[in-house]
Amino acid sequence: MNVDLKFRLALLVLLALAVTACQGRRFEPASSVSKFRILGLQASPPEIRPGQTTTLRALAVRPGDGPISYRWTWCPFATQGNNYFECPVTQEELEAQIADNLPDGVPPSVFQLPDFDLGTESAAALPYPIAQPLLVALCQAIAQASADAAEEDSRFAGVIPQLSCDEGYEISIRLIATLGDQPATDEMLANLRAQDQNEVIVTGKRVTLWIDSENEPDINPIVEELQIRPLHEEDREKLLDAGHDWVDELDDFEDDWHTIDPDDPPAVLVGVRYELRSRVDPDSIQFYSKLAPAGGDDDERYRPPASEVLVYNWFTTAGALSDDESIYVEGRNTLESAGVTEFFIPLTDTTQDFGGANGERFIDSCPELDDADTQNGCEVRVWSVVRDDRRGQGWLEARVLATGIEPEGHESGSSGPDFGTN
Amino acid sequence: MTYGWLKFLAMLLCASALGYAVGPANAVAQEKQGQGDVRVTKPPKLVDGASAEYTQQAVDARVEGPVKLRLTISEVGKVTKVEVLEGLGYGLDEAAVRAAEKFVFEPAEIDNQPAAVVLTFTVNFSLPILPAALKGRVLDTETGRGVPAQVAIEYTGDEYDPKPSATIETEVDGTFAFEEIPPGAYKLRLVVRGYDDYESDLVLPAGETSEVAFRVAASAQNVVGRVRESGTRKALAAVKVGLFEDDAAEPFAETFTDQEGRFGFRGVPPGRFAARFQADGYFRSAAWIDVAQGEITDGQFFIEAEFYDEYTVKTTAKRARSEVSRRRLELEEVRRIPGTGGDIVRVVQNLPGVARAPGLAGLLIVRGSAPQDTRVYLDGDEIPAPYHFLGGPAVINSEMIDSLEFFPGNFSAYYGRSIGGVVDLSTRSPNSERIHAIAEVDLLDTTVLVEGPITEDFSIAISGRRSYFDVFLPLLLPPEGPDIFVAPRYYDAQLWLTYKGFEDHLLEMIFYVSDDRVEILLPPDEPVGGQDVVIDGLDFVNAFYRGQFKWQWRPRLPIENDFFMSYGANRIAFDAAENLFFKLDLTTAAIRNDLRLKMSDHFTLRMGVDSQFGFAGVEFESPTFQDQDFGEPDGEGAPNFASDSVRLEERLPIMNPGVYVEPQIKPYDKLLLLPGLRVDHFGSLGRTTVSPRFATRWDFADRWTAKGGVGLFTQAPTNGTEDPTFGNPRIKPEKALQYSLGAEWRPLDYFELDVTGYYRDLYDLANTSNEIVEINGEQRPLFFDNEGEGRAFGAEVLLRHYPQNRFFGWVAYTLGWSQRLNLLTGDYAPFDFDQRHIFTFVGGYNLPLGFDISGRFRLTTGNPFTPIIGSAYNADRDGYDRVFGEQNSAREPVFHQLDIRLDKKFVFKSWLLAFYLDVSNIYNKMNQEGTRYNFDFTDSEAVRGLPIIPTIGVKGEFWADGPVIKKR
Repeated sequence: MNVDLKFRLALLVLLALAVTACQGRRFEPASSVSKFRILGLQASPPEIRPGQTTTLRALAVRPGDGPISYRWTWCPFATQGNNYFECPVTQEELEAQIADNLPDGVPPSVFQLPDFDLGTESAAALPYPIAQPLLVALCQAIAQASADAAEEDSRFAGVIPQLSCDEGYEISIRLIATLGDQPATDEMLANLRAQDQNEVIVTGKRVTLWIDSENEPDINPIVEELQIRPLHEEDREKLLDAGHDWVDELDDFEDDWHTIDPDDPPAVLVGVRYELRSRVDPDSIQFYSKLAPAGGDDDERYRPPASEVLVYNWFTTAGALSDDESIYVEGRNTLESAGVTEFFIPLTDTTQDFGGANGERFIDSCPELDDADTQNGCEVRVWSVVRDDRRGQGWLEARVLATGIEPEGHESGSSGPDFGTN
Repeated sequence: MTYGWLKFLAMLLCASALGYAVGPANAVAQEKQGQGDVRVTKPPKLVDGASAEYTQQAVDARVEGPVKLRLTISEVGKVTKVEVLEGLGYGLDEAAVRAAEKFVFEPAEIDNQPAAVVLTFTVNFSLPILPAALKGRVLDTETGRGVPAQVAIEYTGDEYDPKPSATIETEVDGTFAFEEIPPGAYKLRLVVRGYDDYESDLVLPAGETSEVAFRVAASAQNVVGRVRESGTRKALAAVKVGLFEDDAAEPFAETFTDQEGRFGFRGVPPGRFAARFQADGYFRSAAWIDVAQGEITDGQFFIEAEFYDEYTVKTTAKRARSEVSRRRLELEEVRRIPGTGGDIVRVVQNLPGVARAPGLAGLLIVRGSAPQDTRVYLDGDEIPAPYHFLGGPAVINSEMIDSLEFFPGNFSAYYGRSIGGVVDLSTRSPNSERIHAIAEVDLLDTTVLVEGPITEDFSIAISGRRSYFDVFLPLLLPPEGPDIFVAPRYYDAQLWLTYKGFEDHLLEMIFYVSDDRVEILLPPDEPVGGQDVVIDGLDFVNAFYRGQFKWQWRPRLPIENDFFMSYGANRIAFDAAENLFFKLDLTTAAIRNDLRLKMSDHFTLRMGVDSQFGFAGVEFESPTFQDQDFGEPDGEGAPNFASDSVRLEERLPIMNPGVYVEPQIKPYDKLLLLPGLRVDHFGSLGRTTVSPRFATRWDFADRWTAKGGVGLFTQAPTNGTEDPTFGNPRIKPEKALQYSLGAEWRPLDYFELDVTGYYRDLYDLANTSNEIVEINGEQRPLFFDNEGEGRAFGAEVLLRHYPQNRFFGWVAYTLGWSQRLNLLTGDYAPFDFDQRHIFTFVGGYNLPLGFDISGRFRLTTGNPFTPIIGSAYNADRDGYDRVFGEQNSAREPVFHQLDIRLDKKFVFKSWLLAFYLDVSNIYNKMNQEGTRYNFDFTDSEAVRGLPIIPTIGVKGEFWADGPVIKKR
């Protein structure tokens, strides 16, 4: 193992922290959704077992109204983002390669793969592509093929991340999402540049084809609901005075939350800090056994079963979040505390300079805030995307109404600097 | 000297004769009156006498007495007849007659008429008095050496009136002589400055020369002192010390200080004196001294040097050179270069052939090689980690570094296991004369050094340094931040021991230790990280200790031998999570022996052993890092680990023996040929390399030297690449063929122009690979291969003014290309640190009043970088993978920066206090050091280097008086 590489990485992290901590403008944080974005890509189920079909769907958001086009493909290799998740071989090339390496007596039709192109709908379906024993053989054939081909083109070898199929076989999904009603073309992809990402987004993920794992079938985490409450109890009266009656149902600020109803978004007051909580169905968090690390002394193939780790990501169209990412680790924290973040919409934001908007973005996205009528709020969208450590993910969207200037004579208990997200 | 006493003696004789003459004349007249009625009315009167001369015969016979004469005097007063009535013989009678015949009288009168008369006349003969002489010498009783003095004699008898006396000054050697002095008893007095007064009674016999030596005892010194240099308390020899009475123009006394700075005056009379001190390189100074009777005035006097740490040549001896390119820097020359923090190793970055390292990094990028290709040695032993982390200073205190030698390429076979360059630090021995201490405080750390003699042959130095990030950082961090158990901090310490008790041998021990650490523990209930790893905190350690024993043998034979052995361990550890950590423990010993046999004036054989032994213990675990972007733009990809997490726990032996031989052939004085051969075995690789080398220097004209070299250089790839589990056990050593050709011109002893061209062919470079190979019938990732290739070429110019006339400086310019083969395209692409033009000016000047000013200006081409031309959203980790453009196809803008440093020394009697103001980037050029991007790489901005940063530091330097240990 190249231990020096890790050492240098660690040093680079420290150096980068030192250098970037005190200079430069602040970029718009990833949690701020102000343009066309893909926030999640779900395969349901995340692991395909023989006979199963997984459904692919994306969490795509765009400013304003308008269509989003999709183009789905899959690739029987682990593709890389630095190559726009492009499959290194065409379906025809691969099938020819397999046919050339088939053992005698095995008809090529056995290895007939589903079409790499999965369509242009907002969702796509991918079945378990081939019979499981044949997939094992495919693993070995691909490994052999990569070894043979590496001398000529190392890119081919580079897309084979594993030689063992013990934990399943990973394939890749690619989604090219575009603004408008025209799906991306190959020519568009060939000339794709960074600035095009405002209109074209290439997204990839991997899906595991189950082979012989002892674990339970993997499922996606399920985000049941999003909840909200003011961060400081002293804001309660002010919010009630503003007509935010939902606050009144919070008897105990330590334990009570208000569940956001998709049909009745709660009003939030600018300049007041709130907490948001993403509630994940505990039954969707599985225990499973990881493979023991390669090279370890343990004779056991698997580690003892342990709970999945969840990663919460938050996104919003306005305001700032104290933590746009948090994790849940069983035994270290609780589901109740893990998916909590602070949420704050400044009336005028002077601390954030990202995007050159200098905070005006918030006012622009909430033009009603200029209206003294606090009942007319603007709609702020909030997403919670939760991922587990086996490529499962789920999400939920909520909406809140940001309302205007706080009533006179009330001092906000949550005044202070911005969260400082980045 | 004129002796008037002889004339006086003659007159005495005449007077005596005249007295006798008058008496007898009267008697003759009375006789004539008795014969008739005759009456003498006027006796004859002698008006013109004459001296009777003593005959030698009479002198020899010691005869003296009266000669009685009868004189007949005519009526005109002339002596007409002389008859001897009673004689003495021995010619005295005749002498008396001859004298009497010359007498002239006033005629006698008888009855008032001039008349002839007869009278008796007695001439008394007395023997003449013979002069005496005195010769002598005044000697110091103790030393026996003559001393200048004033000698006075005074007659003490009754025979002479007035009493004769005389005073003379002796010669410088104390000799003196008195000639023709009246014999008799005398009192002699000697007045010798700085000696007790001396008196003696003498009797000087007539006609004899007395010789005598007077031994005088030095009087006790009553004004003594010692002259030292202000600030350093260094005893100053050969200082002219003058003692002046009040406003006197001429000194009362003058002397010079001895080797220990001491001086003394003897016999200074009571009073007030001005002591004035004068020496080259020092300000003239004076001090008042009050001298009291019977007391010794003692004092210590400090005079201030015109310049401290003056830029001047310490030795005029021109050092023999054997390498094609060797840059030697003295500590005094480099300690005040701005922007280096007084760090002698970093100064190398300002020499030709060395690319600019980004930010504060101490990387040495030499002639297009990678930073890890250049080795830093301490007296021939490789330093595990030359710098503290985060751009910190070198781990060795620069104060104990005597000099630095930098070999950018084509170095001697003495050095191996490097395909880049070599930096060799030479330590100095601890001060063997007196105790010396330094304390230095700046914004980053504090350094303390104490050194001095323990015995006459044994001296010691101890040094330590500690940073204080950890003190200030908690004050800057928000209270809700992580718990910092050990904030970033470093310390280092060194111990030197030197023993010079054996003739022809020098024994030295060096022990040094360094410890860098960061330890942060995150709140346990707020885990951070991701799906693959849960970060508990950050624990980073970079520490080592190392000891060296050196033995230098310099017999009075044409042999020189240097032996050393070293032992040490270093640990690099990083721990972030249960499944993300690594720990590397290296325990190594090194043995070197370098033997030089001078067979003749034309042939010296150098050979030696250079071996490393030890083991490496590795513990490592890494999670899957699923879907992490390991792509690299060079087309090779990253190591192809399995998607499972990996764990490694190994203990690997290190055995790298090496031998070398390097004949130094001088066919004639001006030509040096250096063929060399080095054989290295890399135990962990199971490979042996044979590296032939050749270098030559030819003084083809006065002050002109041509030089050239060619050679093969090898090194092991980075640690771990050969690991049997997660590396390639078949990996080979990396290699470089180096060529260089150049010329030196030294029109003045302190001025040099050096132009060198170089070409470097790099091959078998270790490269990450995602290739799958079959080894022993098993398919496995290759991880690393030796497919890497590169080349570097260019020319270096160094115009150097060695420290002289209170100035030092150099201008360095490098025109260079450094390229690596892109295995994907098959084309050469610029290396990460390819800088086409590298211009550096460094200079320092000693100003009056204790000020020094120095500056550094750098102008370099920006580093190339691979642009990010797009990104793709990785939905499994909610991040964006970069899409790279052509490898290193873009460049950062030109870098330029000016750093200025001003030093001011305050000189006190016994210590020095120095302040410095070091302003980096004085015109605040916001140079680009990189590029940072937003989350999806659609927005970016330049990462700027450090802005104008003034730093200050204080340094106190203390010197103890003694004990003074004399040097052998």
